[in-house]
Amino acid sequence: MKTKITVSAFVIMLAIFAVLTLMPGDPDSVIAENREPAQMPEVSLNNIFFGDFCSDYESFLSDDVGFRGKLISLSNKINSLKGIKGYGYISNANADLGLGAGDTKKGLLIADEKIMEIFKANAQQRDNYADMVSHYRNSLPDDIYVYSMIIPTQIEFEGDEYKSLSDSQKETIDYIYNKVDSRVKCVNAYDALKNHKNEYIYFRTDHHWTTLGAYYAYREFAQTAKVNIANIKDYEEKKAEGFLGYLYNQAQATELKEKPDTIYYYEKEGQNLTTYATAWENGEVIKYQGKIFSPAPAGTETKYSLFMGGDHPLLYIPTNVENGRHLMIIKDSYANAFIPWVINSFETVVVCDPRSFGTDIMSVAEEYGITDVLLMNYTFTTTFPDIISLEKGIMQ
Amino acid sequence: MVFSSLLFLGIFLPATLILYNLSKNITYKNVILVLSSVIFYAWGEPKLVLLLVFTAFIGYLSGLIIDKYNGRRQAKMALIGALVICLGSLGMFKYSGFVVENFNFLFGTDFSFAGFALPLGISFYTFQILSYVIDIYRGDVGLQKSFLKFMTYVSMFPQLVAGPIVRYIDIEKQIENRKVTLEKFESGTLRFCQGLLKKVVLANSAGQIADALLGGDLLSCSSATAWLGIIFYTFQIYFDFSGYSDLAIGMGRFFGFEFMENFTYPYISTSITDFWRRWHISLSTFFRDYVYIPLGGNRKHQIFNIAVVWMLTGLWHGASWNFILWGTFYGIVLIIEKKAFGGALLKMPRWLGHIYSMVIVVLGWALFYFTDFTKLKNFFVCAFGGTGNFLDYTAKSTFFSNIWLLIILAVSSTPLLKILFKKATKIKYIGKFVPAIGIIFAMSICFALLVGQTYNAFLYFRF
Repeated sequence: MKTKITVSAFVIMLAIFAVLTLMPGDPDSVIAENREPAQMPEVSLNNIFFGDFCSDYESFLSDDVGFRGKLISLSNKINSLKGIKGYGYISNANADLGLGAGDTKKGLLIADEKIMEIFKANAQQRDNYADMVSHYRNSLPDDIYVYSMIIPTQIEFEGDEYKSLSDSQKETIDYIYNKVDSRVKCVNAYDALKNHKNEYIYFRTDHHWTTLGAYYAYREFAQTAKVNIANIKDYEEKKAEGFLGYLYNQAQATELKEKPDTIYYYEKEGQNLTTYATAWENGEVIKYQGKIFSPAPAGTETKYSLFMGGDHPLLYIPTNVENGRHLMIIKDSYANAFIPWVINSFETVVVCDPRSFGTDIMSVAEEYGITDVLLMNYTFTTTFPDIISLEKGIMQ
Repeated sequence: MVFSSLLFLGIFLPATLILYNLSKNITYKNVILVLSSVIFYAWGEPKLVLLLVFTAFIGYLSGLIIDKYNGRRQAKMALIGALVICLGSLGMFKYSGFVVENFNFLFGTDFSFAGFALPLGISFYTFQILSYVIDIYRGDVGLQKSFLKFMTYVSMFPQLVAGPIVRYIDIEKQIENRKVTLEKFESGTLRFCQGLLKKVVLANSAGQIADALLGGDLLSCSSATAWLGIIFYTFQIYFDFSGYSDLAIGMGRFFGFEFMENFTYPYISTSITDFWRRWHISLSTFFRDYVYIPLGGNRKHQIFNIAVVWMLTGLWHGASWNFILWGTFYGIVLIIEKKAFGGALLKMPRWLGHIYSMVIVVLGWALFYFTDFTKLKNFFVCAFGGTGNFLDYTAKSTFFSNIWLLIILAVSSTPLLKILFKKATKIKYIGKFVPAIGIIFAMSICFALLVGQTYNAFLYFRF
């Protein structure tokens, strides 16, 4: 009797495995990880014997398994039983952030209801980063101002215990600011943020800063650039609740699910400007329009793409300002919360994302009569070889 | 293909079990086993199947010759031929890069040859084939005339890539004639689930933490981090490898085979001699029977024999100096246990024996873990307080956020859970459901974790 029960249980479980593996999957759970589900690879003798059929097929299976989202949350529940979380813990995110972050990441610290990326300095890449900035200065005409702004992340302003996990971001920033061509104007975003470190300047579940954090850095930048500075008090505070950011997905820190972030943003009558985007896809140029703020429709998830609908290869924003200053920003996604501020101080704002940019900077600068070029990245970008070389590559 | 994957659990194993049981004909069953094993092996690197079949054919052929010329010169030639070819291919594929690297280092030459990609399971199947050839030469086993049956033995997927090293003599009869009773299948399912839990829940969790703690710059770590890291690795390697053996033994029973036990709670040993009777038993008995005893065993130059066996044991684990160091370390400890203090070490109180053994074993795993000698040195500097940093946030937070896991790892290293499980099955009325509940529980957890975790590399595939 016992034997039959046991064997039946095993056979039934194995049959369930087979059904789950073979049944159609749950593509939404893959899309929630910000990627496309792996496709069934081509079945051909050549691909099987000499190609990547086997590994591609296994990727396909793991994306296509039935009830994938439910199984992953069960898996996360099991994993959360390993110990006491109150002390904080370190999670090792395998996936890359941006392009080719790879082994430069030390992991994530989850403590005090926030998720923080642990910084690991990269001596070789920060030299390359500084060279890249100098390359912009040397390539652009002398009458165009070139600024560098490197933005520290949350863990930098934590107490010693958490900070000890991470390399000093200040050291990397200072190093680069000292090394770049002396004609580059370096923006001290570090102290601007540090002075407000107890305010809500970073998201708890995302690696980005908040609009408020961006505001303090913007003030510092506008001062350096000697342009008119907007005051946050003149704007109406709006909020989008229920934001669970990228790091939440990376760390799968389900205990924070009930404690999402809120995205605050600041609007003024007539300041939700139209943005003109250009993208390059398969050799084709695509043009489309958007808005500075595009909150997700009611009932859908709040995302960081609230700002301009996310990252675009090239964005052109004519503003209401008339001061003869035309700004170009070479950026990563850290700039997205910054742009709503900077449109108050320049006549034109042009935003280039080197990860998907499809032409050269010089021609764009000429086209829009650029007078100021700001290279802004968060500190982690100074460790990513791919982005640095892309950023350098678009400046001929 | 790895056992702990969706492909294996969701497609390969169910399909193989169904096909295998479609007919009672033993030749049909052997054909299905060989075909499925070839697919299992070829998945991911199809070309290397040729090497497996070639090496097996050499073993099979020399068996025929040895049998025909029994006791004559030709038989000896066939034995030597098989040894040269099998060990030669093992040497070429596993150690050539290492040899070239050391040659360059010693003679200042600059041969650019990085070696081959290591064929899966080559260290295991080569030894299995050799055991057949040597045993037939010694007259311990009968000739296998059928290449199909010989391939059934060599290629059998449950133990093909990570052991136990099954000897032909042990399954000679089972290849011809085997029966899967319901009881045997049941014990197989329990063993299989035990292995799956060990690998997917315990080894993978421990491994992730070990890599996180030991993978960084050790000179900036605290001693507590270094020790915690190597303790997690100690658990990882045991549950990874013994989990694999459990899966192999369990699946062997699905097909009517009984493989030897490979691990019997090595972490409750009271001495290192005891440890090596409990750890990777199929490997240590292989070296005992085919190297140590032929060299003279205890009867002549025992110390030399022990030294040779342990250098080889180290080298078998990988083409790197740290593995040789690791083997030599054990050789020395074992010689000291046998010869020094008149065997007093083996007579110490049990609790002291446990502590002593575990300290040696954990230190041994440090030699095993770090293939890079600079990192190994940094580990020891850090572990023994050389950085002046004894406790840091990494160690504290890792310890507390994995405290239940650590307790489960420690308890699972002892026979306690097995005893409790046995007791539970004896409870009136509900006892008979206990194994079934256990299976449903274990398999659900493992499947969910496999879907949820990207981290899934088998450690012993390196060897």
